[in-house]
Amino acid sequence: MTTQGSAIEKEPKKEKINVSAKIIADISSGIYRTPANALKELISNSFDADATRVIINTGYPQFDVITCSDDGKGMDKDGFIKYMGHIGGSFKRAGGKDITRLGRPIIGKIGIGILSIAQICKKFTVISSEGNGRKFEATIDLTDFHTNDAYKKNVGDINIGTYVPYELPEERGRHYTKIILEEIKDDFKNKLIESENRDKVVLDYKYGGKGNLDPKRFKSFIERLNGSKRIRDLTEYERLTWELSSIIPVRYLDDGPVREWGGLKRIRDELKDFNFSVLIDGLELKKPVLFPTDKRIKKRGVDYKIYDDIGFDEEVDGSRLKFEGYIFYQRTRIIPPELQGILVRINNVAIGFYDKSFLNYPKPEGPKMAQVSAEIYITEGLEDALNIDRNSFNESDHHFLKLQEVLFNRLGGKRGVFPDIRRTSKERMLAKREKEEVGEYHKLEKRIKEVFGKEFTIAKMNERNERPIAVDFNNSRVIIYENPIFPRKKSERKYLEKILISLELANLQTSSKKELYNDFYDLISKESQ
Amino acid sequence: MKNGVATRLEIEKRKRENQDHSRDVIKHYVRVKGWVECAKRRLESIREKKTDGYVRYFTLCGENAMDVFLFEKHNLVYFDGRGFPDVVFCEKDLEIFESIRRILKRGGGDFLGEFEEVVFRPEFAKLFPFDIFNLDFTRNCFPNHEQPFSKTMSSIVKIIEEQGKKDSDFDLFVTFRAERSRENQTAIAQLRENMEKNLGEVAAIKEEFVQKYGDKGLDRLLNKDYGRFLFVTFPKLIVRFGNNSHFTVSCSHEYQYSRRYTHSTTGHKCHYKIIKFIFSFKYVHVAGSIVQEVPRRPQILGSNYIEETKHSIKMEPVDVCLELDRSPCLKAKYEKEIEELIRKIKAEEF
Repeated sequence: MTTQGSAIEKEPKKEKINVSAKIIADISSGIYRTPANALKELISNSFDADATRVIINTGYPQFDVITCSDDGKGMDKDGFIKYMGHIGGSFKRAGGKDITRLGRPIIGKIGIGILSIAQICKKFTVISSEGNGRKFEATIDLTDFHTNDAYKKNVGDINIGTYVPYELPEERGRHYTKIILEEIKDDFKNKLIESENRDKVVLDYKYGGKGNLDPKRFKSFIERLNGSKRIRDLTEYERLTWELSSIIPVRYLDDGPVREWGGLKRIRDELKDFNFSVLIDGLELKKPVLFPTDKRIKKRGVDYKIYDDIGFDEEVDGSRLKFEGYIFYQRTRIIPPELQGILVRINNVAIGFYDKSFLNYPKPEGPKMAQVSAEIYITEGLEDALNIDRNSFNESDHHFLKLQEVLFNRLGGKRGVFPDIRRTSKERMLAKREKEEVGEYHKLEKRIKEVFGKEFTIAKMNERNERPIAVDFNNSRVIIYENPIFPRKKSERKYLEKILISLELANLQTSSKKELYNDFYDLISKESQ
Repeated sequence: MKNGVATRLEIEKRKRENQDHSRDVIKHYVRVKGWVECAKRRLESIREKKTDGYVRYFTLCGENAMDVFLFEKHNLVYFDGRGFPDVVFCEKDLEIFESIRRILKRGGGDFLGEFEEVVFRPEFAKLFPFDIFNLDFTRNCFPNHEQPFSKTMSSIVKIIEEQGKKDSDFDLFVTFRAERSRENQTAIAQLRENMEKNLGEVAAIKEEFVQKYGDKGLDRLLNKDYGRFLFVTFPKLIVRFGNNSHFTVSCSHEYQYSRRYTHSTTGHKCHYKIIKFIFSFKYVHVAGSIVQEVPRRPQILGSNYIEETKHSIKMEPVDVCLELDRSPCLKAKYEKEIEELIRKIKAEEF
């Protein structure tokens, strides 16, 4: 190991971490609602640090220690001290920079990501190196955060913990950040452990046994969920995996988000170009979106549709709002139901989870809402509408209102998605009905041939006629006309149609009453077999 | 030192003094000749009961977890595509812990902390039984700052007891640093006294000992060849602990090699010995009273103690450096294998 500056400096002083009480109050109120949301912030930091790989280990099955490491540009001691001294005042975008060195759009904005950890543990250590032959290490003790009245105070600064920043030698060229979370909070840990005792639904599935890491394993996980499971029924551990994969800026599965669809190319290429992978306990995460989620659904345009023309790029109240996305519809309910609704991503990171209300779409669309899933990628704007938790929006923000307007119009406008779904649905029903009717008449045609030895085709006319049934001997046709005699109920009408056709044909084909009865019953009985 | 506790900088300094021995051919010799061979035998016996079974392994593996990857190469531990579900490790150093975790991915459990403390945690007890324990300690068996019956010894006893509760046969690999000046002298005196007692009470043991080391052999070993003194006296302890938990114990292999270091305060070149043992534990069930021919458990265990004490006197530990010097081909082969393993492991490094 080649290290620079093997001499180790003298013991550094303990530093205090002060944070604005307002921020702490917001964080304490549980803004990182799920474990996945807390971990999302760490992953976002790695993304902003131009990491290509993030490895998270939950410490399964004990969950005593959680580690998150990345190969990003790292941080030095001074940078860390500066960061800890300015929590809530990120300098990632200092100088108006909105992209990283590798050209990634910067996710972090206000610099509170690291505090998301406080929701999970009472102590954590950061070890980081910029590749300059030095590394720093600091263990952050959050005892003050958990014991002080941080929750109650609303003004000024609060001391939330302490740390001692060490600077130590490191191999030149190695750059990374490792975060080790200890003293995991009991509620978080117990949830994961308890769920371990429940029936494991998916992740314990053997992924082909011995061998190298199988990149298809995540797909296999998703395929097992699709069409059969609700995410909320999974174990907490599995749920963490799924939720995390849906909100972080990783790429789609090779054939996602919709099988055999080449759309969303720009976004998919961009995600690929980021070259950013996240592994949780040895499982590489991809976006868990793979439509259609129902195996019976195959025909595009009939069984499912993709509306890929969602796009907007205009100035809204003096600032640019730009987004693109897609809306997917399938003729059956989307399962897992957690994929129903709309997911808005800013700089590729999801804001909350799928919103089933479609950003409060005002019209009642009934079960159709459960057949639609959409993703919107915001590439510019809307960030000011983000609440501090980065999981919800300030709904009176101009950009948000514009997004709503565009979305509602696309969903419910004259040529909107829901009217189109209604049309498609109706067409499909009619086609289905027609197919069924043709099938029914075909059976009767076969019986007629068996009884009389002659072929007749049965046709239905929408015109009204005094006689409901007419036989055209010259063209070997039996015509059914509209007539009030026919009941409204489909099955009853069918049955009456059959009786009348049988009676007409028997009457025309036979000379004696006896034969007529025989032929009639023959037709009816054979028909009913 | 601050209030008797080493500061972070002191720990880092010590860490750097302790070179990374994972690439060491000497160490690899023991991995291959000792650990792998023993694990293969253990797997055979596992497969007699369960045809698709694998070794359930606890290790103090160190930064590169070479032993785990070597076992995987020999198909001894199971890799399920996400990690090693039957491998559990413990590491006290935060950074090394993170590194091991990263390369082993999802395991059967991992513990951050001193093994001697971890072994008493209730969540650790839940993971028993194991098929193999690899306690590759980098420290002395009886450190001078601890009680004569060291925490390390207590932890070994705890393992044996827990395995005993599960009636489960297993192997135990133990590695220590043998450097008399760093040992607890009371503990050493007790070991000596105990051996003296055995020599006085059991003629068969005395005969074996005198034949090999002579009448005054015990003191000579203690003063001139401390490593050999431990080779003679330490297995007895393990056998006794095993017997107490109804196991017969046999020490199948012993290895030794020297390491050099520069004393941190005097700057003198010093050396110490690394000594390694491989023990096999077989649980003795209570014999049915009708089968008179089968010796009763106390008899089996009693004779095991005497036989093993004789065996450890007679046994010649393998001098690893000497063996490697004799066989340059083997050395080259191991170097190649180490490189291959390291390449695989480093693929996971940042």
